[in-house]
Amino acid sequence: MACEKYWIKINHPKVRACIAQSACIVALGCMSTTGWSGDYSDNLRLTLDVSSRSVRYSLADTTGNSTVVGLDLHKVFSGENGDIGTLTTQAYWTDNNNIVKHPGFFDDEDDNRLVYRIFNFNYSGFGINKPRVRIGHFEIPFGIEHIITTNGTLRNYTHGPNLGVKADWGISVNGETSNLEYEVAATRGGGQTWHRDNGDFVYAGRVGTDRSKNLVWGLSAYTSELGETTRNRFGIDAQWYVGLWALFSEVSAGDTNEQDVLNGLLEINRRSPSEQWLAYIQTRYFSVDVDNQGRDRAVQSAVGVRFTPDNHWALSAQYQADLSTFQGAREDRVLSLQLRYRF
Amino acid sequence: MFTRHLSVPHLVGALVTLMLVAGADTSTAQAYCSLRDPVASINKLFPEADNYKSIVRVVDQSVRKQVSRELPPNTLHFGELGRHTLYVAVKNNLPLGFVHSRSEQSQWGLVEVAWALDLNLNIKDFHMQRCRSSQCKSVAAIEFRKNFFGKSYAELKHMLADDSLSLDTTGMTLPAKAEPLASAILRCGLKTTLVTQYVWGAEVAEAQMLARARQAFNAATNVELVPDFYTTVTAQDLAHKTSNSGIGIHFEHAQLAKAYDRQGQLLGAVFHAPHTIDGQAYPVWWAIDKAAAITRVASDGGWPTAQVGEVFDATIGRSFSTSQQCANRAELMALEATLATMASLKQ
Repeated sequence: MACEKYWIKINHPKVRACIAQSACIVALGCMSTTGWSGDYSDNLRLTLDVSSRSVRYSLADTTGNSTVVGLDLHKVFSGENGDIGTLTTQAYWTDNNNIVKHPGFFDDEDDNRLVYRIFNFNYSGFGINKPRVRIGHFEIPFGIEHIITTNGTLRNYTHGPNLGVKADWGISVNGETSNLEYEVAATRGGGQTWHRDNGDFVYAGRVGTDRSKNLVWGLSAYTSELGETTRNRFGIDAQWYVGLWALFSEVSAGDTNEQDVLNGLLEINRRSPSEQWLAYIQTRYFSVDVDNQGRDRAVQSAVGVRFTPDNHWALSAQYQADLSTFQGAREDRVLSLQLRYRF
Repeated sequence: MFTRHLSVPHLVGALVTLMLVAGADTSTAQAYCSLRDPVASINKLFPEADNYKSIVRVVDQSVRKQVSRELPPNTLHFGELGRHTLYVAVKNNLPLGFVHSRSEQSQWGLVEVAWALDLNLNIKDFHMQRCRSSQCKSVAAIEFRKNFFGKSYAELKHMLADDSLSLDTTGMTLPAKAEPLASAILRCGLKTTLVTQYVWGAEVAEAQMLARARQAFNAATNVELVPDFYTTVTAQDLAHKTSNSGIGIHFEHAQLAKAYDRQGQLLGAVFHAPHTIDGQAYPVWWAIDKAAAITRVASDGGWPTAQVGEVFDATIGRSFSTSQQCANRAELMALEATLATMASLKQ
């Protein structure tokens, strides 16, 4: 009876997923190191990533907490004559406690689950100037979020509310030339899960200028059908760096279920010369042209700061306020604090 | 329900154990999903490359101490520690050189430079991957970059001013406003060559030997470095057969690599060591086939004179087994290189 009880626990899909990933990681970590021309299996980065977040919701007059533990793995596979591809896996056990505003893949404010942030293999074996093929779970290539990584941070851009999905399972073709980079993706529409409802799909792509420059432009396109919602978007994004200051912007237009939408983002940020400090202020604008009712708008502003004193710690704080909401809903204020440690 | 069985503290414990098993290492503050290969930089710096290969190694506190000792008052900032990648630019499976991206603190934030190094770790060129200063164009221009072309670490060090932090701009046409950034570039280049030598020294040597072996043996597809090949027994054997107390080959710095064809058949070996010629050390390498014939001899930095080169070239195609066959110093060096190499090939 006791054995059966434990077997049920071990046989739980979430535990199986944990065990499977752990086995992969141990196998990769134990691979041997040999020379330049030999079996090159030691290009491994592996970090235990732990963070704790407290969130104060003014409207609900409550505080929530979220604890996240995961492994961040980056492994380059090389053959005798060059790199074959890169495996990036970020699976995080996320334990929410009274997180009132949570992504849709959590059942409720107290849910916990294994969250796949990035989990893909990018095949680069065709050669340096050839396209690469990415398979797995990755961020939708659209807009500024595609360039600036926000995973696991308090800072956020517009992917979720604008596109309905931030990352998804699928395949992409990506690459870069001397002056351009591109990624075009077809994904299943399940978001966190591999499961796909009938007819769901996401097609997206972004072409951007060389990100080593101080002025970077990107053009994006997106179309999806997720459940009952159909979205089409065209977007333009820009990053402009002037000394320690940077201005990020993104504008996208299109329709959601045939209602015209216009969304935008503007962020100004400043780094310290050592880049241990980052401060930002951003405004996100969402509008929809509701049939016979005119344009409805929602505007959010956020101000945040991040301090990374060394290679391990990252301390972040963000205050976000609704300046206006859809359909006159009550405006909320959210204060978030996060402590993150990477071993 | 599930958390009762698998709580966060349990998970942390399990994952820490996993990290220990899998080999925990120096982390970086940035999530790994933001890592990108500098493909555009490799393309710009080695336009002839058709592929590249990553070699990830740890830059740790011991390297930081070495840099501080070698280049005071310069040091590595915390963001420069952790796991870093050296990219080997490849054409037709032959290493062309290396690309290493390194960042340097400046008053405009981190300046990230992708450095192209030739196989001897001399600067080939550099490309600004990230530079937020208004003076970037001045230092990215070819007129400034060419001051670095072909420079070794020692030559780069001579470009430092007396404070060991600034670039000595004597003879350079550079706007005064760009001088702090230019100094940051120089410090970055110095640290790059130094760190590459410290951290990737074995891989660099292996790539060098691979390139030499491929030059010497057209059919070579695999090269195997022979560690510690110069044993006491070899040294005694050499002294006995050459009746010599050393003709000027620095065996303590010698490297040997065996070359194999696609079928795994031994083709020969490349012997590389500093050779004292006319009172100065030159990095000379010999290619010796499995029948002990010399198929090639070259000096990486060139010969002291054309005449010296001709004397060494005259050994090509010949075999040396005793000192009686040797009419000059180059042939005695050929003899020593052959005997040391063949002793290892026979093992």
